[in-house]
Amino acid sequence: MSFWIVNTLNGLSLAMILFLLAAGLTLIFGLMHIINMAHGSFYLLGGYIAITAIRMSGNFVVGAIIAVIAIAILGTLVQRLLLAKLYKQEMPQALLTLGLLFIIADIAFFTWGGDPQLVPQPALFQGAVRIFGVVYPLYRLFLIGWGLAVAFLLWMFLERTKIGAVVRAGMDDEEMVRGLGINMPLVFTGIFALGSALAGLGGVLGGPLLGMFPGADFEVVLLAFVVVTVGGLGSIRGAFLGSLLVGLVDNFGNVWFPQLSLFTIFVPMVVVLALKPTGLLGRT
Amino acid sequence: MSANPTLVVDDIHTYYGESYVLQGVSLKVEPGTIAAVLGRNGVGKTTLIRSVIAFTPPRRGKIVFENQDITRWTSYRIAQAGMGLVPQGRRIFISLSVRENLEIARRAATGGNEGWTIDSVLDLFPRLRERMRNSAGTLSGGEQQMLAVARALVGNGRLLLMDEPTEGLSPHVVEELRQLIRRLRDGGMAILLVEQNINFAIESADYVYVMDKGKIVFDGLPSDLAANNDVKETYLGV
Ligand SMILES: Nc1ncnc2c1ncn2[C@@H]1O[C@H](COP(=O)(O)OP(=O)(O)O)[C@@H](O)[C@H]1O
Ligand SMILES: [Mg+2]
Repeated sequence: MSFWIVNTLNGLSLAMILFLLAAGLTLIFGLMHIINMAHGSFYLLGGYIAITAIRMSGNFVVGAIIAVIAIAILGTLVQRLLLAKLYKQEMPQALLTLGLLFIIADIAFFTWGGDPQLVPQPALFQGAVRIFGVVYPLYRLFLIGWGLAVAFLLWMFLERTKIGAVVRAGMDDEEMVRGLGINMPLVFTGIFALGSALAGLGGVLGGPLLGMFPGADFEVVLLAFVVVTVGGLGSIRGAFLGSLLVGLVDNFGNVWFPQLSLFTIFVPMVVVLALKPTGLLGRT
Repeated sequence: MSANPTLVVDDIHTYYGESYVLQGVSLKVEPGTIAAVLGRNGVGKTTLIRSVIAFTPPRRGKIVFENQDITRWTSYRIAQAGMGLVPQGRRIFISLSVRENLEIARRAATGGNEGWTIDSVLDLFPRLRERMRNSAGTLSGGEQQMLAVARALVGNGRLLLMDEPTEGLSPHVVEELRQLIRRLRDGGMAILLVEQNINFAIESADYVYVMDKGKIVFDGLPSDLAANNDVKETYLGV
């Protein structure tokens, strides 16, 4: 029994890191049709900047805020200065973000080196607690709570605010939204910055568990793409469901078939796509 | 309002890639009037609307809206300046509720008066009021057209671009629409109406243009067109 509880909680905490990445990825794709490979770089830089900022400030929250703001600014610049110039040119945009992934990976390597580094855990959440009859790390529970809170806030934003409605309308028919007098270039920048910030937050909060190292950017963006493909591109609920599925499958897969880790992720993806090409909750 | 035309389209040339569609189109819409553009399928009527709202900006020529040259403006600025669009095929947002479709389109009127509010367009289209919480994708074709018109009205523009608003509507709804646009016009709105439905255009418009292969081939009063069998036969197939 404790095996199931521990591994389910482990899967859920991984799922929440994936959700932080997948949420931005799916919004950016749904609205702008950008396959953003640099999303992994924002995760990696978020983690690395947090490591440095926490070390310098001695405070997890301060370091986390600095990292998330820095990544939001970086995302804004990338969208404004580069991607906006390639409006509606999907292939050049995708290649540009791939190029950014490589460039940022090199910059990160020169700046933070090649050894894996953990983001320091916040002091408040160190240690373990007893839950459902097992002793479980408090930080992972904190992570699950954060993921759920972010998911709820994002859902409220998209479904209950006017800007959220504009974003959904933009996914339906972006040109028509502009025809109503809505400043879509600004909405694009805002959503790209939000998505980037969430990826940075993913790096900050996932960093104490997964660590930052060369290649983590690609590893995590690959998983996040699996999540949004399974969940359905453009759907936040889909990203959430996909994160749970991939997080749990990956965790149990690693426990039972450690040699087949990629296999256990991609088989469910292929099965979902074969049965429902738009993903579980995809827009049609 | 000024005595100058609300909209002047001056010799515009519009392309889709290499495909040369509008080959020098000029027309005017005077304040508080309805100008209709008629023409067969594929002659470039929708491209004209797309050019005016800058979805597909013309490569040459000039577009002036209320004395401002808007030729190089982006779509959202043009719409903000006071143009409403009822596009061909309605293009309502199916992921949104009926209410949200109206809320994101709502813009306060300029010049002090309140203009159209969500409440006042619902008085115009009571059937939408019952559907406010429904997803717009579940509306019938006629209701979707009402929503498309209502969405354009709550933007409180002074020029309305309407692209085949009667497409797929029952004769009864078409008649309601005709009365509505006459009422809007009498309230001071300028309307550029694109139609294939000749009778609808002749009965509603103050001035008509006939388009063929990307050019204006006739313009005159609706009564002139009604009496001109040549033009009707050659360009409109009746
Ligand atoms: N997006 C597009 N890309 C390329 N060609 C187009 C596009 N839209 C319309 N056309 C072509 O432009 C011409 C005019 O089309 P359109 O303006 O839609 O005509 P209408 O509204 O009068 O039926 C047609 O030959 C059509 O095939
Ligand atoms: Mg058309």
